[in-house]
Amino acid sequence: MVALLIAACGGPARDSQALHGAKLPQPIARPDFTLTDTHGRPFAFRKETQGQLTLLAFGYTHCPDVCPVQMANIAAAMRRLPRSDQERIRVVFVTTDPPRDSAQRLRTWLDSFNPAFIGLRGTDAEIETAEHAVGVALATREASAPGDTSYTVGHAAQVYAFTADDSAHRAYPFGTLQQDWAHDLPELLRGAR
Amino acid sequence: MVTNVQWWCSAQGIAWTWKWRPYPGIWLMALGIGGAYWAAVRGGPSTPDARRRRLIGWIGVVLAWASLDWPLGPLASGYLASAHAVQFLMLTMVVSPLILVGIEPALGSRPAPTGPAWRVLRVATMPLTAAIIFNIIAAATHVPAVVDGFMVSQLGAFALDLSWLVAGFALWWPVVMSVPVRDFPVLFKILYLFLATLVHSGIATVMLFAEFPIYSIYQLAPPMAGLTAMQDLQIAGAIMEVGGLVVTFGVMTALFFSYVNRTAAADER
Repeated sequence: MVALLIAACGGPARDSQALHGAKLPQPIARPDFTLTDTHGRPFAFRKETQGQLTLLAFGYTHCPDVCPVQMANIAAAMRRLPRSDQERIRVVFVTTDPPRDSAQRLRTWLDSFNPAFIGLRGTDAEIETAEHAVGVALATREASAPGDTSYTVGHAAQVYAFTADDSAHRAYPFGTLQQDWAHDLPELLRGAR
Repeated sequence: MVTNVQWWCSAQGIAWTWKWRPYPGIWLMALGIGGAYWAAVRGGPSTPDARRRRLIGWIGVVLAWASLDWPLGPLASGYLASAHAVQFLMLTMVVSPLILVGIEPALGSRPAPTGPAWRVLRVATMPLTAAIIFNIIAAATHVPAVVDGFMVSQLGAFALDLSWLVAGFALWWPVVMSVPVRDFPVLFKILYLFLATLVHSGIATVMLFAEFPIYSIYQLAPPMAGLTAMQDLQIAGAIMEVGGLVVTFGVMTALFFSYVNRTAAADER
């Protein structure tokens, strides 16, 4: 029984080429949108990340479940990589809640996972443009009453992985485990799709 | 107003809040444990020692309730592996022996019953059988697929909690009880406790040194207490390892000194 427990910890043997991310029916071209980073500088997504493995997520810092879990699992998997590989991965988090996610709050929140993570914000219209560019559902704020500041935000939960060919072939839904990221990130760096 | 009342603590996938929630199934089970305990100790001897033991048993009943109910119950079932480890430790290593200590004088003072149930109990509480029951339940209920599969439903979470109580009663029966088999020699009890809890220690070691968080349910749970899933798992392993060692070695030490004192007293006579 203990052997079963130990075996389960390591997980089943996996084909090194089999990625855990969900294969997209059509690759998504690296989108072209410009938002503002947490230092107040414009960040042109396509230009700044071109040719690099880039994980793109939409979410918000008050998110109670999906966003912190996704960010924590990516950060944990990245920590296992050699530093040289870590530096080849860009993680970009676009807030869907700019009224509450100030640049400072966004920076502090991302720093709790990995200081290298990039936080982007903008006006509602700019963020909608970014969402359109990626092709995700538009985020919606779900306030219980006017003026309610404890609202939740419905947003796309998947993380898109844009690879060196400047396309995303895989998306990682909520439920992707650290083990899955730890397996896929090196493969994606090696050009797996 | 409390909405969506659940009868038992299970994983819900919503962010944790410190707002109290009722779990009627747990109250019923606590009442059931209390009722069964009362029935077991009723009519027992009324010596000071028996009264003290009965009180210890009631403390066990209250701790059983506290281990299953809010906040530990829901924290353990859907948020923190470390809370899950505390709950396991409480039910198997604290609650079960305390309740057995409480009912031992009453059960020991009655004429040995007969019948199929008693015969099953006789076999189940033999040290070898008891150790096997404890270890199988302890190991099986920590297999990731079992935890991830059972904790998401109220019935599954209930089954796990109940199995831990059963495992605890099995483990401690040969140490605490003098019926239905017999009171084993102290040194035998010490050896039994050591051997019977080796697997428990193994499970804790797996948690401490796992490469990744082994339970998806806790890895994907809304984060809390500023802990990463890996830190939470390591704390769970440490709680199981240290807590288990403290309880078992504490009891083994107490047993050893009682043996030494009794031997010394016998030598003096």
